[in-house]
Amino acid sequence: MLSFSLHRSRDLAGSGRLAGAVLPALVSAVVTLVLVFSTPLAASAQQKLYVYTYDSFVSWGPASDFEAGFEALYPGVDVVFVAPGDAGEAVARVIQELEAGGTDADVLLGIADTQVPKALARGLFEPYDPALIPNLANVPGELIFDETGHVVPFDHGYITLVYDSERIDPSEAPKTLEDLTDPKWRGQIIMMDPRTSSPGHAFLMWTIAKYGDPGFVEYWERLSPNLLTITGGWTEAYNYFLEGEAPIVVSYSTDTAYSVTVEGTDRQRVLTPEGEGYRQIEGMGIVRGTDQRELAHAFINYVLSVEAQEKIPPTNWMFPANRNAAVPENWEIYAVIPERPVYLAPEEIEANEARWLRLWATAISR
Amino acid sequence: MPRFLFNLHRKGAPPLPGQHGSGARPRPQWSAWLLAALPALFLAFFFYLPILEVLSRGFRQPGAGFSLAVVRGLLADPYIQRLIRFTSMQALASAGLSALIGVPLAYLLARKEFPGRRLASALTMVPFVLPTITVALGFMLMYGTNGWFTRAFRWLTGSELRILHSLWAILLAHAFYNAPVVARVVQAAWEQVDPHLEESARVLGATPWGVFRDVTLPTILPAVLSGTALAFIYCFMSFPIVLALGGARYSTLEVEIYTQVHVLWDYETGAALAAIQATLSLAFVYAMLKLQGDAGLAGLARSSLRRMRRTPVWEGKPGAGPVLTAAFMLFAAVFFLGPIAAVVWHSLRNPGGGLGLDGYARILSVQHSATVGNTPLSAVANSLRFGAFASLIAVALGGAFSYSTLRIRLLRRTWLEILALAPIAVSSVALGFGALLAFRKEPFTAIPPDWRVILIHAALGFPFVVRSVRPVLANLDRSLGEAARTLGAGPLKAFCTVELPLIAGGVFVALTLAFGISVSEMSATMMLARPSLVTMPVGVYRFLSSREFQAASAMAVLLILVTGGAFLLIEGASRWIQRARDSEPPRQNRARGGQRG
Repeated sequence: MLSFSLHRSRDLAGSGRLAGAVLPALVSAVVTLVLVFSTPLAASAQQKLYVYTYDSFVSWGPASDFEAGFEALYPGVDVVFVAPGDAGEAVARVIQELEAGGTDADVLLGIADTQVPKALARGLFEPYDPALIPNLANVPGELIFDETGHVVPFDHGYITLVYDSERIDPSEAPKTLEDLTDPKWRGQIIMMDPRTSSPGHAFLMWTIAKYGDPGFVEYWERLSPNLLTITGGWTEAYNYFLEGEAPIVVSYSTDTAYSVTVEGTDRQRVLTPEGEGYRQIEGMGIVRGTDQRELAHAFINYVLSVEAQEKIPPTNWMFPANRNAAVPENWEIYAVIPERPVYLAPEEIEANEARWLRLWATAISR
Repeated sequence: MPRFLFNLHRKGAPPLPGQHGSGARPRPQWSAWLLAALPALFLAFFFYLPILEVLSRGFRQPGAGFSLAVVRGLLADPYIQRLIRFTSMQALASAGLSALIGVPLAYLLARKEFPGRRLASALTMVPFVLPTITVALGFMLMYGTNGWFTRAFRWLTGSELRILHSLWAILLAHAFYNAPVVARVVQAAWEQVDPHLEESARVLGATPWGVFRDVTLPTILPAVLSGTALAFIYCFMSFPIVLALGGARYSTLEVEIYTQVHVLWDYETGAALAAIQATLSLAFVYAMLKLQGDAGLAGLARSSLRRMRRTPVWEGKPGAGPVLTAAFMLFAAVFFLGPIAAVVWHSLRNPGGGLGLDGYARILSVQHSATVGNTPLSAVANSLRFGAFASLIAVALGGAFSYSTLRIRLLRRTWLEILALAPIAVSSVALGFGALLAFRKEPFTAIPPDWRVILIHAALGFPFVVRSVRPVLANLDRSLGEAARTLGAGPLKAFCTVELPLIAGGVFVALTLAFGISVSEMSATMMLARPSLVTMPVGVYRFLSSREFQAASAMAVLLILVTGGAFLLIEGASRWIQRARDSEPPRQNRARGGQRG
């Protein structure tokens, strides 16, 4: 039908009445459309496991390795990764689909620990059966943040500061969060909006953990003049940092490991003020209403296997959750696990988040 | 130019022959009703019903049914009031700046001839399709601390200029996106202006400025307002560009909607905010369109079979005119091409230093996309396919809507136009959710994912089509079509052979804009597409999320080349059709018509 309609319009054009051909062409395009709709989709015989996750896990992270590895263990299974955006958007997507009447998702991979209480309140996950996830035994107890038995951690990372060592001498670099408010750093720091960026959110929580509520408001008011800008996402912020807009940025504690490994430079250095960094644990869980319960358990168990976990540092740039998984050589030197990880209880965040974000928004625009 | 000549045609004056004033409306035709039903049903099923389902959440309270409590609470909140104030002010300023840059650009493209005009015309359309993140990059490389423009300014004046991370960056970026839209809509109207009018005015002794003020401006004003209204709506909803270039200190309503929905999962507040946002934005546009109704010389600017000759930029008496033209051309080159050139340069720069093609090797490698089961080149194919189908459907439906609403009376016309604009005035957060809902009901569940994306893109293109076709359609001299019918042509034939060629300029602008909106759209695409599907802007974001800044820029350059090529192609087709029109009778007009661009 499509070729017919195109053909017809070309014939008319050929006869020199191009103008007269436009409307019929449009009409036949619409007719074509209607016909295309009526063709049913070919049904697939394969067993599909839908894994919703964040985009960088798919485009850069270990998704392709996981897919190949798992499909080798379970022939006849097709793992489909769906990546609707960043971690927050992936979770929001599952919720929206559930609200709209149902989701394809069997597993949600990449939910931040801070979001778990909210997700549980919405009934997003089914409880997992520990007996079906033997690899869970190799995950250190302090990482298992969800005591209700719904969400399993698969990696962890730390939000810290990163500075440009060619513009700031290591001895001059800020030593504490308080140092960041020193007037000598006026307009020298780039941060992200906690409402739209996960590292930005982590940094705000860090200041709340450190200065208390409402003490953090006053801290941000003092910090504000030193912030060159507060971007919507990490990408713009880090791009600005790399192009020399400002020498200090909020980022990940594995950044130097990344730049040494991939770009061959240690110019960007990780800074852990007073040995601190804000801990982020990423979790995965079985989505409520799945018809692939066993396969979902098997997938979660696979993600926690040593084989899969060793793929995480060099592709997702986070620390593995399985204590037996080895990290790459460079990581021993450049990737930093802060001596004193900072974190707030997810329940506390859940109870106060709306108010905190509003206080923050008011403080920075004062 | 004696103004009395035009006062004749102002509101309240008796209609001229061939002009249908409010009193002389033709009787409604069945065909017009049928034509109106198609776009109405389309918008109802793929936009209005789902979006109202989403927004209605803001007007419910547990156990209370309909309630205005949430909306009232928000409107009383000082923080929200501040957001509303800032959102409105920046959108008005941005739309004004877009018009200020867009109208001279339209003049340049409609009236002047210079080498590379068509290429320039296609390139100035490219900003409209660029992903925000690419614009942020281009702006940083132009206006950042070490940016080209900043350095040039420092070298010329010895003083520092800080545009990035300020309100100026936001306004300039909005103009970068929207001035091309204003320019396109105005250009179509400008090319349509009857050269007789301007010539008569000159003969009667008017100065060039007088001709512009009294003849040209009133005839293009509806198009200027039309384009500016589009720019306003767009800027009112702006979010990523505001945070990327200005920073979180400049939050808009859309940021708050995003926060409520994606971070706090408070759908009720989010929906209420989205309803407030859409209402406000459309209220502003309503005021603008009312202004158009009062100020425009409706019906004066009869489209002529003659076309204005383009004058080469180097022609004309020496004086302020050529200097201003040259200055504007320089400005436009720096303003539009600067950030684009910066992105191209960035794509060629290796992270370790030096130039190279690594970014391009990366985007062309199949290995990269093993994860998504897709080569980046298929992203090009997907974008083109979506853009082609979505823009054709949008033009067919938007054209049918514009044509039929001029012939039937259902609601007040301004209300109809507001209803037609709504798809782009609704928060993209709400739109994404609405799109999800639209295809959850029988029989729409049968529509395959790709076509879902295309249909939503067509709904988004619809307002652009209406806004660019309406001004040229309103200027169309209907007596020509009626003459054809009197001479025995059927209504369809009369439309296709007489009226359509006359409005072709507007139709092709509509095609360009609808294509552009489809290529650049991401939130509905991400929501509805098959998991493995990648379009060009999605590809840019995928590379960025992989921390491959150089490859992301290479992908953006590919996007620039492909869409720039598509715009050139559409423009070529437009010229072809208009030449077909010019070679048709009446010949005596052609003899006087002079050279054509």
